[in-house]
Amino acid sequence: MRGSVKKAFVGAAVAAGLAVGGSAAQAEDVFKFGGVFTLSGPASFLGLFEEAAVRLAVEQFMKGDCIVEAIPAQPCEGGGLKIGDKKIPIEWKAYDDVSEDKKSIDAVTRLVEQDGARAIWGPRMNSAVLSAASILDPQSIISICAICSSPAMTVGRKWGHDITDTGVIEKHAISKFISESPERLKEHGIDPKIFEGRKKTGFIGRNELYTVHGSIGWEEGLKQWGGKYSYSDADKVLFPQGTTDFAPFVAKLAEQKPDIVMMDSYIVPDMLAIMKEMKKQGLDFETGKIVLLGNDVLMLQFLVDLAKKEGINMSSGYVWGWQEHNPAQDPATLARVEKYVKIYNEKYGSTEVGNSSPFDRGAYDAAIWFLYGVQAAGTITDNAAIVKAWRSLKINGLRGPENQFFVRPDTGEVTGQLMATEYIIGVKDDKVFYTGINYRDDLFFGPYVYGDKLPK
Amino acid sequence: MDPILEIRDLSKRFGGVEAVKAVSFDVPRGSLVGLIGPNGAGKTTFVNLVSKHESPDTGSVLLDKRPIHRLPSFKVARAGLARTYQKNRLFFEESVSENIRTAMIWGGAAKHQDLSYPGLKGKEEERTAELMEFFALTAQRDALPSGLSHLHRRRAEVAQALALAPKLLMLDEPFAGFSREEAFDLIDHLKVCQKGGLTMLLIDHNMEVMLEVCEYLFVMHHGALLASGTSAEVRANPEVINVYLGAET
Amino acid sequence: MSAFAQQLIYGTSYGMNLAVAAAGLALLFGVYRVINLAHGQLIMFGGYIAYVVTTGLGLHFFVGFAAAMVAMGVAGVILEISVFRILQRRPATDQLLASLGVYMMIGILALRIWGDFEARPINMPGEEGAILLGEDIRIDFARIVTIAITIAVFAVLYFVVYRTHLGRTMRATAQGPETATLMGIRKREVAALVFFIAGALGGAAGAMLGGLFNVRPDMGFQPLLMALIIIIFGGMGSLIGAIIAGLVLGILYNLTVFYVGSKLGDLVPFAVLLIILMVRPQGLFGLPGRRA
Ligand SMILES: Nc1ncnc2c1ncn2[C@@H]1O[C@H](COP(=O)(O)OP(=O)(O)OP(=O)(O)O)[C@@H](O)[C@H]1O
Ligand SMILES: [Mg+2]
Repeated sequence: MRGSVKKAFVGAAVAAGLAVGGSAAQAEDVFKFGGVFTLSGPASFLGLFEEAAVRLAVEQFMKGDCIVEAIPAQPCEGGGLKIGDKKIPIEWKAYDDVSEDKKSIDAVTRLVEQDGARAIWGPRMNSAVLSAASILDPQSIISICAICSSPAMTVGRKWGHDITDTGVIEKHAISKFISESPERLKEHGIDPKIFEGRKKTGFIGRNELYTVHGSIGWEEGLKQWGGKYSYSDADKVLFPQGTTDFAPFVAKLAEQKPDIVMMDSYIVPDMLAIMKEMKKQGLDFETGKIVLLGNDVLMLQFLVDLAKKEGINMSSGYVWGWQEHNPAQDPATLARVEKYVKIYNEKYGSTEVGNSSPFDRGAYDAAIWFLYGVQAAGTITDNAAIVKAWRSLKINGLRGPENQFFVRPDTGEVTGQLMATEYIIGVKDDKVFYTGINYRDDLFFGPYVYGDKLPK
Repeated sequence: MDPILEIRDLSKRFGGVEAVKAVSFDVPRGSLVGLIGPNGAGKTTFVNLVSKHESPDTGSVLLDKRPIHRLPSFKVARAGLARTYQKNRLFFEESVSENIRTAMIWGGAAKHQDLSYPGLKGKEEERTAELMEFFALTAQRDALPSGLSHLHRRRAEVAQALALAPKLLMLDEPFAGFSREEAFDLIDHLKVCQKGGLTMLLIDHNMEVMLEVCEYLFVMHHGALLASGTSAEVRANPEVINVYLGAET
Repeated sequence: MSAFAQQLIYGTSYGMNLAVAAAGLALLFGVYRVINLAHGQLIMFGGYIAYVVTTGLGLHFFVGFAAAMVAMGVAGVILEISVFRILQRRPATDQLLASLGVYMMIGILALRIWGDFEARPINMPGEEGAILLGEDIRIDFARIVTIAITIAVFAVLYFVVYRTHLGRTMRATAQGPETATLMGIRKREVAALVFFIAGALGGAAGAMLGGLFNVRPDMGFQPLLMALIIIIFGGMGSLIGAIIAGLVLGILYNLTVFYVGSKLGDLVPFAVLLIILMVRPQGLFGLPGRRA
């Protein structure tokens, strides 16, 4: 790729009548960094805020007001990346993939070959992640995502970075929660009877790589935490995108007579529909016939409110989930978040991006963290050095203090996977609450979290 | 003479072929006239131009004094001009009665005149029934065109054209494939219509029948009007004998 | 056994919706010889119209249903005037591509207006209630409403197409566009009419599909795909064919999801297509038939 980038720059230089020697120096005068997001079409709500957060991070870095801090500390003086005694401006360029795999890959190729990007943010879609990897990894281009939630970002990849949890890690956490001892539950004010006598679990979600991985993580976790519950990956119920009638899928789930259902969906209309139909088909989490588990979207206050409006009561004590953002933040983090939210909302609040949510904060953390990493490496061309320097930094971010990368226990190698913490959340009196239980170090096991290759 | 159709200088060219070349003539009201000519003479093209199935390059057409050559074909039909085709064009998935009824939706030009051929008066069902009875198609009312004999199919086509309640009906080779008896059977029906005031322009290759039946004939050759006259006049015309009658026998 | 019966019930209501969606496509193809891929998004948008009228304005479902039909009918006419009329003489692939472009534009429009993060439920009568047969067979009132509406829609459609002058003009245009003009039928008016009816049928399907749970921007794709298969299966342009093929596909889909594998439902339309192409390429109902 270096050859082709040079070619592009030489071409531009000749056109501008500059000396070729001068243009080579110019290539090192700007740090080019690009992204592929879904900015229009279905699912743009995910791409819009992620792109907005990264763009804001670049602007704040250029202004010298980074808000979040690296450990060990890194300067944020403005004017660009401080490399030696030079300031190197950062150039950010994003493309829209309209939620189409082919456009994603085209954009990745364009960023690398025409725009000369050294690192690529996105694409998000699980199916596109793998294709992008096959372009980026052979060319040693750094690959980053803050909302992919996919093992395909890091497992077996030298240049991949997943700055969030994955569908697998999440399932490791929630399966650990339901496998806790009665004592531990009681300690946190949770009635252990909720889980008493339950054995069979079921799994339902939309047919996509996220749930395919999630189901495997679910099976792995239940085994890992003592095997109190049964589940087989083969029993997962997956419905296609755009489903309007959930009855046959919920019927298939009900047929398995589960005591606990893991609803692995983040699509709000799907989730509400499934919950409604579950009640109708006897999978009732309002009466405790089953326990309903869900992800961080299920545990959004917004969703609990919506469900209530549709006559679904999530406050029965039989609905649990997790979130990745520290609900009980320390004052230092809170101050950072406050400052950030003000800047973000002023910039985007009245646009289609909308106001700040925990999701854009994760992306902002990741972007600043990465830029600090480049700076720490002292080079903008040696990607191996950049990756090494970045992964050895921690960050006091908006999500909380001391975010760090996961270190493989078998090889001691620092991976590109964020060591995410999962906070267990419940619902009481129509309000989501933090149980005080959270998990981190234990969750990082299994070939889907680290390994040399994604298992088939 | 009171012409119902006035053709002036009508021409149409397809690439190198001058299919119709500056044709002008009048069709008298209430007459049964013929248009003859060898294969490829331009007869069908002429009919297409009049019905606006195709647009003329030049020329004008007046139907009942009203210019129709600039109207789209659906308006020409509504103005009172009906036609049949050389090849069967009945709606192939509709019964005989439905085929006939479809033509009644927008037709009716003749109703405002003092005409009285079959199928003009009454409600649509009555008109349909009358037309089927007239053409002895009542037993075939629910049959699809594909299930009809050649004779019945041709009659259904004419019935459909009449259902439009036209002032003028142009028939493109209605006797093709008919025996002499069958041809005369259809002619008898057409004569009834003529008595009711309908004007007809008949095109056919069957010279024997045409010369016997038509009061007046127009002869086309290479797109142009070669001759016209009564059957005796046409029969005696040396040019016609040369290009057509002679060649035929 | 009761599980089987239950799936038949689900499949029937789904299949009926699909039949309504497919009838619109079938009519367009039958009369106008075009495959309008944007039909899928008229289904989706119809769902949103029903949502706005029922949940947003608080009016009765039937008002929302009618509004969806009228609005999508008008959308169909706009589509005819602004896209298909212009591309009339262009090859079928151009029309197909143009309709795909419209599909995307409508998708983006809906997303801009309503987003895809919030659920947009339609208040359908009998949403909560159900008839219970024995221990475990449940017939939701909403499904009964759906089936009843579908039967009514098809009865009206059948009457219009086969018993009225409107229908006659449509059938005539379908079977012989040129002959039809020589019967005084104006092609443009028929086109507008057919696009109106097709759009309205799409809107009706969307209101019913969305009525069971809620509407979302990507809900038009599966019905579109199913509808395409249905019209091939049922014979291009055949109404009875659309109902039968819709039912078969809807029921097969549900049975496959339940008995074979939840992920495999998606394969049903393709499997059916493959079988039709091998066994009876002209579809269930005769020639490229336009007769019921
Ligand atoms: N659409 C067309 N494109 C090109 N040439 C045409 C077209 N229609 C007719 N022609 C040509 O115009 C000439 C006249 O054809 P037309 O069909 O009008 O003759 P016709 O007198 O009706 O012949 P027939 O007795 O065989 O029916 C022929 O040379 C024919 O090939
Ligand atoms: Mg001819």
